Amino acid sequence: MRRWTRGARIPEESLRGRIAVLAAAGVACTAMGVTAGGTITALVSLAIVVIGHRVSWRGRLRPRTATGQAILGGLIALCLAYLVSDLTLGVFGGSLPQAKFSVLALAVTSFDLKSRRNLFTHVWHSAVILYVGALFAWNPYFLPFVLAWAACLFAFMYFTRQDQDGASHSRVARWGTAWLAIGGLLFVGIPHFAGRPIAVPLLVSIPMGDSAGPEVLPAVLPLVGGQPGPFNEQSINLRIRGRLGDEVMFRVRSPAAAYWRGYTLQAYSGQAWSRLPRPARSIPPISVGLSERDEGPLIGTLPQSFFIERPVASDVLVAYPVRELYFPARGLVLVEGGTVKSPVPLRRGINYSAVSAVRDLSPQHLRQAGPIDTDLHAQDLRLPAELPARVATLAGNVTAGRPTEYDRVESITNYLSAHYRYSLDTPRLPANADAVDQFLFNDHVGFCEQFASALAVMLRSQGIPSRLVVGYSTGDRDSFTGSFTVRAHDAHAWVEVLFPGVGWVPFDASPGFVDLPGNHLPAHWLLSDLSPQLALTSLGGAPGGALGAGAGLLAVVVLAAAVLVWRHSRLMARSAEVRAYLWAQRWLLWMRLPARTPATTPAAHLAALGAVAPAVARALGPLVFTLEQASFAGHAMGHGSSLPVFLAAARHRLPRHRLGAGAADP
Amino acid sequence: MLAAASTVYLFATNSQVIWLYLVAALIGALAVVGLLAPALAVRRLHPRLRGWTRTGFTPPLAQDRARVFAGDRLALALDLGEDRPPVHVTALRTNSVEIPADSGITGSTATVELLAGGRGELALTAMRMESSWPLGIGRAHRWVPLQLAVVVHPRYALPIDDRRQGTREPVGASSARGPGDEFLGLREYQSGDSQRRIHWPTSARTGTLMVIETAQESSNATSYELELAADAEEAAELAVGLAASLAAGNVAAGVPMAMSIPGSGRQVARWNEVLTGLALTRPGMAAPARRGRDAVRVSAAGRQVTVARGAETRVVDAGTALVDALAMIGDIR
Repeated sequence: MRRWTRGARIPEESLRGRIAVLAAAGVACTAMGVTAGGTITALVSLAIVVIGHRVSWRGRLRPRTATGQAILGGLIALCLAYLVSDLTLGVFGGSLPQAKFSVLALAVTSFDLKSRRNLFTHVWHSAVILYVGALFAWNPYFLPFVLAWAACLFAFMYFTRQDQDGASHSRVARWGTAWLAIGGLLFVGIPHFAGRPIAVPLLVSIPMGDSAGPEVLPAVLPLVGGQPGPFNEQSINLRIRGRLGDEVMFRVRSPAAAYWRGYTLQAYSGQAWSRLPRPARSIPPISVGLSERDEGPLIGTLPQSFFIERPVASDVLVAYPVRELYFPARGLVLVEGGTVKSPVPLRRGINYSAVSAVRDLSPQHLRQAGPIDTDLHAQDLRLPAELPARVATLAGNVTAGRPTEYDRVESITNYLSAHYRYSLDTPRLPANADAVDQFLFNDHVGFCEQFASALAVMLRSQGIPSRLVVGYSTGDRDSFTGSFTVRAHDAHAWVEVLFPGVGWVPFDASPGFVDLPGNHLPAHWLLSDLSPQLALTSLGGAPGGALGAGAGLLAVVVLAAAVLVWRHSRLMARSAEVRAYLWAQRWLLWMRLPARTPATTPAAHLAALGAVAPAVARALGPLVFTLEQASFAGHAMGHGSSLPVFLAAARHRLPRHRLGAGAADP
Repeated sequence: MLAAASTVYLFATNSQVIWLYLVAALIGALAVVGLLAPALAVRRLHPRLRGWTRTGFTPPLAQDRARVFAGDRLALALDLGEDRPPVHVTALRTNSVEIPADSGITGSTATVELLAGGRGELALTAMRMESSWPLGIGRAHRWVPLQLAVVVHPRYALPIDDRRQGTREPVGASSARGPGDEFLGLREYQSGDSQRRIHWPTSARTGTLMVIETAQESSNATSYELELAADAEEAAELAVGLAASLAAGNVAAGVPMAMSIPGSGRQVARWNEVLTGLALTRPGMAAPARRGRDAVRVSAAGRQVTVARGAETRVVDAGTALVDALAMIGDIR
């Protein structure tokens, strides 16, 4: 009979269970404040949550009023208005509006926690906040928060049952230990797949407008040789190189290591690399299906989520080649060559996600590349006329006897990494000297830019199209969180070589770096291919996003309706006696009289009620008798319509205006 | 809970957040514990029946207070042990069907309440013990053997004149009935009764001093005959109630009686045997041979109960309340 009375509207009487829910909210808000910022908002909201829980506890037996519900609805609407305005226009600074909305909504809803279901929803609400905090957690210090929140969930579920069923403490301790052990095993045992970032809207933090602000930010790379300038005018001066610090530039969540690519440089002048004007096209903030021509089939995808820690320029860092981009700004431009330009510089707090292609870059596959159309890629083969001939001669000697393009590229790469020393302390480049010639024949020491320049120039001298690429190497991987922390000294330069039918393939000749900086294939799973359809919102870009959001919303509504219909049918499937008894119990709750608890039989509850309100108990007696007859004997004994009788009798004997604390029977 | 864990896992997979894997694992572990713990709780259960009590019908004859009557509520007390697992008894299995039950737990004792149902033999052979502890996620149950058999007697009422007599004058005044051979039943102690006639076991059980009541076997004892046709399912209960009430009137008045009850095989004269026989008889059972023409014959067929004595006959519909039926046949007995 327990199953009859634990309905959605039955007030939760377990104070310990409520405290566990409050603790879960506290843990989640603290975790978010610590990791994601917004500490003041989190603390203020937490204080309101405490007050709300107290109000909910004291008023748990009080019926909901239309005024109270209207006030709560209005406050939620205000929170939503804040979310939308800050998310789209940055009215309040645009700093993590989703996170702040979550804690504000948590504070508002804490004033209306009556039933166990309300509390359960509250716990899951705190889980969302914990999730936001987890997005910004980059080290194991977040572990206590996760364990504490889960313990609160366990405590909530346990206390709400314990207060009914009771059990010894040792038994609870045993199962609590078993829970932690099983949880640990599951954590280790479950596969950590890589999927597409469906949670992008939750990650998006600071929306950016269409125009750049007045602030001046450093180039995408803190290379001393970098020359910030207008679009298509950036360059790298190979004559100078400065020191790079250890400051964290950005963090990346990615299931596999990759080079985080910034932009490409095509024109070599002998002492610097610069960009060439390239065709470009606008792309929406949520862009899928991005691809370049002349690229082979992909064998997988590599999802990444970037969290900017220090200001960088407007080149969107991403593993090459990008296929999907989820970026919090309009006005994106995809330049031929795979570079994505943001209309504004990337500030601290910006998050964006991308899905890059993983291609088959195996030597076997690359050896099958087709012939190169030198006319089509003339600008990627261009060399300065002043380039000493010995550079080409050296390249020819190194690649002699190599039958395929891949073999030639590999031989030069290996030659450079084997015969030259990597060092940031390089001699100063003479005024009229060619940087590559100086590196190859005089200095024999250099850093990434010298190695990359030498590789690109030597390849071009052999008729192989190549270009210089700047970005960041993989960074430091945290083995526990699986994320990459990229610092300033991870700035890097490497070379992309054109393989017809495959596309531009990265090669890195710098000693100590990976041989083939192409994207690696992460673990893949079935739902990864479905997740693009689950895009929750579109920031004005892809129409498919809005369609997907609408379909998702419709699916949720349909599912919720199905659950409600199912629950209603279950209720209606019960006998009339049971339903009448349930209604009588609800009436008792409304009258602030003791309702039956799951551990109490109807007869025992009737006896207990008789001690408080004997007249009401007498009126309820026939209903209980009817219920028992219907349940135990399988038939009613002439009391089939006892509910109206009970209500009439109870109301008559217990006028509402006389109901106060304790509801003493007249 | 599994759905929640799956949802968190999905988000973990799509956002590369390692903490979400941990949250999903811990929630999944909650589901495992929530399913495993109840199963183990009911598996290790060895309850012991400590006793039972009844509430409900108050029999007019005091000596019947320890009996179980149709519609009574039974409360079984089960000892679950000191380190009891949190369980509830939700159903009982009888010799024929399963009946729902409800239980409350106080300390190590579980009180299981059930309705005795209709007259007959109620043999409880097993009880269904359920548990959803500690998280309420899963629910496990096990049928635990139980050995309890009680006879559920038919309810009866005293005829109006006998009730009046019983009110004014204590039932079975000791001066009217001397010691004899035939056991009539038990009644409350009255002033003047010999202490040697006190039936101590019954007195201890009922809390009321009870004495054994006997009567001289008499040739002019009232004879009752009960007949239940095979199609008398609806009328049988009223017929049995009427027969019990008529016999109870004799017991209350101290008048000897004998009753032939279908299924009992012979005429019985002791009240205890009469009530037990009436509890166990069923429509279609063969009645013992009739004894005399003056017998009061109570017969049920279809929806009608016929009470006849000699040429006098009364017919009562099956839906008539017992007290009303007794009033209708009052002058025929």
